[in-house]
Amino acid sequence: MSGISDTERMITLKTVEGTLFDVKSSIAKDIKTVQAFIDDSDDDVTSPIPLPNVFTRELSRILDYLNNHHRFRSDIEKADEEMARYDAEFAKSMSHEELKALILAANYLNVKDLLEFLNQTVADVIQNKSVEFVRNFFGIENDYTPEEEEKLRNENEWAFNGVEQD
Amino acid sequence: MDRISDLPDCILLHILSFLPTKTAFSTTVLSRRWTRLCHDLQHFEFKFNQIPVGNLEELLSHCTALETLVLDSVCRSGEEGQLSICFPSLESLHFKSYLRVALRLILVIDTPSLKRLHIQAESGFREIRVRNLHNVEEASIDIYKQSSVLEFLAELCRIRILELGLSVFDCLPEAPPHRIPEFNCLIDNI
Repeated sequence: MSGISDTERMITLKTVEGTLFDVKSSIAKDIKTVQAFIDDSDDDVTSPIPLPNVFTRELSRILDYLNNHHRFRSDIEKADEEMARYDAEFAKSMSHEELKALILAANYLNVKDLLEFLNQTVADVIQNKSVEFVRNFFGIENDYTPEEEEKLRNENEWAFNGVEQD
Repeated sequence: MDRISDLPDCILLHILSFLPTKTAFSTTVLSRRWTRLCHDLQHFEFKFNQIPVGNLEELLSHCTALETLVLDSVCRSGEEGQLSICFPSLESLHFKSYLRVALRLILVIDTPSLKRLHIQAESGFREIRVRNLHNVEEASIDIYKQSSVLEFLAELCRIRILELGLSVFDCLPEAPPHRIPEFNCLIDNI
């Protein structure tokens, strides 16, 4: 580590498809799974770190997210506002399939802030929506018979009182 | 094609944890995959008569991961019977009732893991039975009934931070001195 500052040091990540990404070590710190790998290697990482569960599309998005957040944080005055705008765009730009793949990747890589944000995004969809809306929105297949569903609704009747229909 | 349901339990639970308890429980009918998930949540918050006291106990009896329970105005006036808060995993309990009429409920609290207790009731309970509060470190008590207050104080042997409401100071001076315990671990008295 001597002589080289932390921000200059680059780490190479390798996705399932074999794509290589060079990442600043300050960004890698936010990817806990990668950081743990680095820590286990006594900081002596020269060859690419393989990520057997992460695809190129997801890693590229995650690095975009982290790079942008790091950039926002360097400008404290505008940080919150710009970050909120960026996050909203980021969430909107994804299909459900992409959102799910990204959640799985963020979970595997243990990128805490991003995982919180993505899961909150899903929760926001469920909030104040009827069961039917949520099923349609996420394409959840209802494997209950109407009778079974009715029974379950009666058992948890309190949870369905006053839900807005959409 | 059902995409979201393929996510592992821990992620779906994380998603549910962002929702109010009531909304989280409305997901139980989405499909079989979702039905049991809510029972593994750690934080439950019930407000404004959302759930009858009878159903509450039955519901929470399945929730073995329960850590935080917030009951805000769940008691209806005239509701009778017993509210038992007896959960071995519970660490934090907030109970609020703004009913001015005396509660007709019997409150039973038996929570060996409880660390934080906040209880505020504009009136007293019909009866209070409190057990196993020896791990409570932080408590705030504001109840308008001497016997209820004493019942709590007697159990809080290891309390470190104790906040007593004005109502407590109104009723304590008249309490028999031998029923007011000494608190040896107290670090702060607000």
